[in-house]
Amino acid sequence: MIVDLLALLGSLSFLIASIGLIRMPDPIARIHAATKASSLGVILFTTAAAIKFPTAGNLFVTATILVLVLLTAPMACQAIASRLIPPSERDHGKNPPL
Amino acid sequence: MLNAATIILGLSVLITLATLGLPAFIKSKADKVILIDILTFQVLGLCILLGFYNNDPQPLQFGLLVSMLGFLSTIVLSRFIEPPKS
Repeated sequence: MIVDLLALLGSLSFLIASIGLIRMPDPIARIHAATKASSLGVILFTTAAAIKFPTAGNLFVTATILVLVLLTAPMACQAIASRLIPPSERDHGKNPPL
Repeated sequence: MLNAATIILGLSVLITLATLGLPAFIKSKADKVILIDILTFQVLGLCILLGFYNNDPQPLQFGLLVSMLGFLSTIVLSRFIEPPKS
């Protein structure tokens, strides 16, 4: 029951991310829509999987997925966004693109 | 309720694929990179839902691989975005 509810909420947040990709006007706003809602959806799905399959190996795999996504989604967002800003406006050239 | 979750997630994958395929929505290369990034997260959700349907924890490891590949592909594809001049 709680597993199905968490999966439904995760699917809804993925749907919100997809709608945000269409609605948002420029690429930086699209990154904002895509990254945050997808991270929330992955959190909900991995929590559902950890409740559904509560053995030690599966908990390790789900925790690894969660930590990996939460570490790498902001880095991917940064890698895209640093390419969208002109070099002259980028902190006086102190932060080169990733 | 699991069926509703699958339908909603499939609908969001279809919206993302249609946005990737129709040139009216794609205005720059950055949009394609963002779409592929979000598509890997949705495929990760589909892998976990496959595990729920079969009552089998094996597809969680596919999800682990998909999340790693999604990060690497986003980093590599973001190199192809030309930064604006000026």
